Amino acid sequence: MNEPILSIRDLVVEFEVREGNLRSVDHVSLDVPKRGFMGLIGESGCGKTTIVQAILNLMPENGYIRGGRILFDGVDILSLPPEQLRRIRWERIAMVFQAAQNSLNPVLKVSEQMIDTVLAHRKSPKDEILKRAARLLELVRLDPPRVLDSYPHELSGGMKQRVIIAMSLLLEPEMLILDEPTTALDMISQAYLMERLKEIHRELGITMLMVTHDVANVAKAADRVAVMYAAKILEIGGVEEIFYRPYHPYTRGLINAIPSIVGDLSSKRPIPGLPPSLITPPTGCRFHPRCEFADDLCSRKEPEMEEVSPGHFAACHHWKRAKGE
Amino acid sequence: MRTFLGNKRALAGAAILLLYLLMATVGPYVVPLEAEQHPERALRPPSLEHPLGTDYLGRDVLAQIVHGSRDVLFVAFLAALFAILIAISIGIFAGLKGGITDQVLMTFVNMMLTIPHLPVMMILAAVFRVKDPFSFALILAFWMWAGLARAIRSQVLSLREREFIEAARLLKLGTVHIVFKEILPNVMPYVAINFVSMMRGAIVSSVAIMFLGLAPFSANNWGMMLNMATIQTGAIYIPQALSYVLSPLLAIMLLQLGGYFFAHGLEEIFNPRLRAHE
Amino acid sequence: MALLELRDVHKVFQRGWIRKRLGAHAASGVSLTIEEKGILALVGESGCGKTTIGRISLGLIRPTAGHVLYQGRDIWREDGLRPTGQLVHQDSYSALNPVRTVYQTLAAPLRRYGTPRRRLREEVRELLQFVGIMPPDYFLNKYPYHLSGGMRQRLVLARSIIPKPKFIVADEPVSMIDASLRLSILDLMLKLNRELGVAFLYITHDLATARYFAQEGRIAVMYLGKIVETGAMGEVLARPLHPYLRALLSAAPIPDPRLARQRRLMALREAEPPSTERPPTGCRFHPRCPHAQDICAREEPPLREHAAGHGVACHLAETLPQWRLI
Repeated sequence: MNEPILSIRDLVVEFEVREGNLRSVDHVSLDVPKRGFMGLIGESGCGKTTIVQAILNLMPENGYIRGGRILFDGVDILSLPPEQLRRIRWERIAMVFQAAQNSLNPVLKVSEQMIDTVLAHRKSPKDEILKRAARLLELVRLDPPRVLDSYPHELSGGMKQRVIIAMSLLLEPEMLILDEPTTALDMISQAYLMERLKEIHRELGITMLMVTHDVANVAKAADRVAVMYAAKILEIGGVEEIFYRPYHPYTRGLINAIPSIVGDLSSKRPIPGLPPSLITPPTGCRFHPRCEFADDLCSRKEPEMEEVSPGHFAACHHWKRAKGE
Repeated sequence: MRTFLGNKRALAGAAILLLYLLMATVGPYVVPLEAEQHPERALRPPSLEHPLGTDYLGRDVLAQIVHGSRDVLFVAFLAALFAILIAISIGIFAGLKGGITDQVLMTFVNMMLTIPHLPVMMILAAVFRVKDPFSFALILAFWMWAGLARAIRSQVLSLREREFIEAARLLKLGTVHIVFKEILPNVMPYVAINFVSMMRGAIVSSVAIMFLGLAPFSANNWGMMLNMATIQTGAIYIPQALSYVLSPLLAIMLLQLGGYFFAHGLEEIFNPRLRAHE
Repeated sequence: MALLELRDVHKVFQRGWIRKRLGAHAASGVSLTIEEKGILALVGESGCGKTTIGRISLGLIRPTAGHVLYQGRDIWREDGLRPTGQLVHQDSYSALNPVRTVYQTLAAPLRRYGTPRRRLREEVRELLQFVGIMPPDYFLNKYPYHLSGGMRQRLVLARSIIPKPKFIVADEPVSMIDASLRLSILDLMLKLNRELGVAFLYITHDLATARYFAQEGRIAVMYLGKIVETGAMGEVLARPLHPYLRALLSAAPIPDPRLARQRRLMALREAEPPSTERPPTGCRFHPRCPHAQDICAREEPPLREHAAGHGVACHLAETLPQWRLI
């Protein structure tokens, strides 16, 4: 495993809502290895989108970073002045938001938007930009002459998504963050897009961080997976480790709750209970109210992240016992 | 409830409205109307015994304001009530029926909206010799329901698309149930907010008509006071009698302000909650 | 006799008042059957017409052509006959009146279907218990926004069984629910099927949940308004014939890294799904199909029975190579 290009240390993010303070990210630490493809998975409301919003300080009005550091290439980007952060944004770390297809300007052609994007950050002759744009469009298997000359409404959802991804790579960033890139796409387009992402990862050697609630989607493309639940990271490990040898009861429960088109269905079952409130989260381990191994310790003390096997970390008091199952 | 108490606008508005309500209901018993005339005390500026001065016959202005509030508020309330009843009926009917019925009704509504209200109301009031507050309220209501009806209709149109209406149909619960149990409760918050606004509109229109002396059913109201003060006695030309002229005007302004704050405060309260649910 | 049968159903949605020739062909010649107490999974991607078929099955939409037979009788021929089916939707919040409590939402239909007033509270409680909304008393006076997505969906299901329907059309019932909880809703639906004998038309784009829910039932795959393959779930998934289904199976996410990486995504001639307004001539899948031949562009393949109970609409069904997932 390579050195991390992005190191999140003890991040805390809160939202001020009517009912009080909602802690969406609660002392989260995560390393994204350089040139790796990391999948950050979790269900709705677990805080995964907030983490990536915090990385580039693109949070909604009522969101506040209350603590922690985010080290990119050794520099804490949270402490950077806005001008410098702006330079990192898009030039070194690019981000593709959820339903990004809708963020294309409907009155401009794709070529114009590509040019605008680059010129907003650096001076560059237009034909250079278009050359690179064409190369990137080819990388995502779009036909450059046709697509560059189109307006967004002339393209399908899947095509728009790929245009956005190509656009995000125009400034040759070192890292690409994607938030639910496959939403609103049909299944075949989704699979196609994941293949393109894998290809980009291979060809450009760029670090990828993909946030998704679709657990099965990361199985194919990611090499490392982090599991998030109720504002906390519960488990981190290589993709095979997470899927074949999960240590945290939540991870096992989650994988067991997802039906598949192959394999035995009789062992599949849902996780009992409901996801907790983030305004008044459970004491101790966040998952304990739903965990079959939970005991008194779990409700009192929050478990630390422990290395359960090389490169594989889990935050559970009883990981040794869970392993035996 | 909690949000209501926290919202300064709504509270301020409610306080003002409550004050007026008290004035209209209990006021007349607290501040008796002077029947006797004291011409020697006519058109005086505010003083300790007459906080708002005296009118052209020496009578206390404050007492007249207090007593005059009754008719104004009562008529405005009735007018808003009638207008809302008409608006709800037509709005829901048009929205649910759709098709030609809807088109016809909406054309009618649009027509109503383009006709200038005040002149027509004045003509109607003059022609029909408004003898009682109910017919007065009806005339006022007739011109006020149109805008609300349209708004209610659009709400109904969007509600119709919601799956719970479809579910009610699939469960064969019947149109009556759908109208009263499913649609109306969803429309009511909007109606409640608009009730106060409609009252404000009614106040303005009714005072205008009363000012012109076209509503002979009531002798004691702000409109008549203004009429007396300006047209009949020319009190506006006398500087000391300024409070006589201004009092009814200020009474109306303050009431409108209270209504405005209340209605907007209500809107603020209802809207974020609706947004939070979705 | 099947409980519900759709025979050669067509539905075209015209746009605007003027009689335009151009309309969205939501369904073209769709035939399917749902057996008493059976489960049929209707799988297809958004825009393929499956939602329209669901509504046609309930008698909510009238087909442009074709017949809808409920217990053998044509519902549009006989006045006032509507199938006794209920609908469960993707968006549970929209399916519930936001200003009515849980109690009110269930009490109204219970009254309508004969529960005497004095028994209402008790029956609502029993119903809540049956669908797993516990403790019932806690939830009686709660509004929909107090409930989680899963709870709301349970409430919708509770409401839907009050008229004792013979079948329920469930249109993407779990797609807005968290992954770890989806099976609990599907299990509840299976409970309704097994204990109350309610048949299900399960409409979804997700092959995996379709496989889970209809493991003992049947599947019909829909593409651009047409049924392209149908049969028993186990059989169809083990021996898929239609290239579109094969493409779907090669694309559906699998929560298993090794399998997911070994599997090859089927290469399609065109990645983008076409529009429903100008469906391709002949076989609707031919512009994307890697096996397409001349006949595919010319003639529409009929749905033909290939093996017992396993039907497919493809000219080349007999000659296609053996298919393996990995």
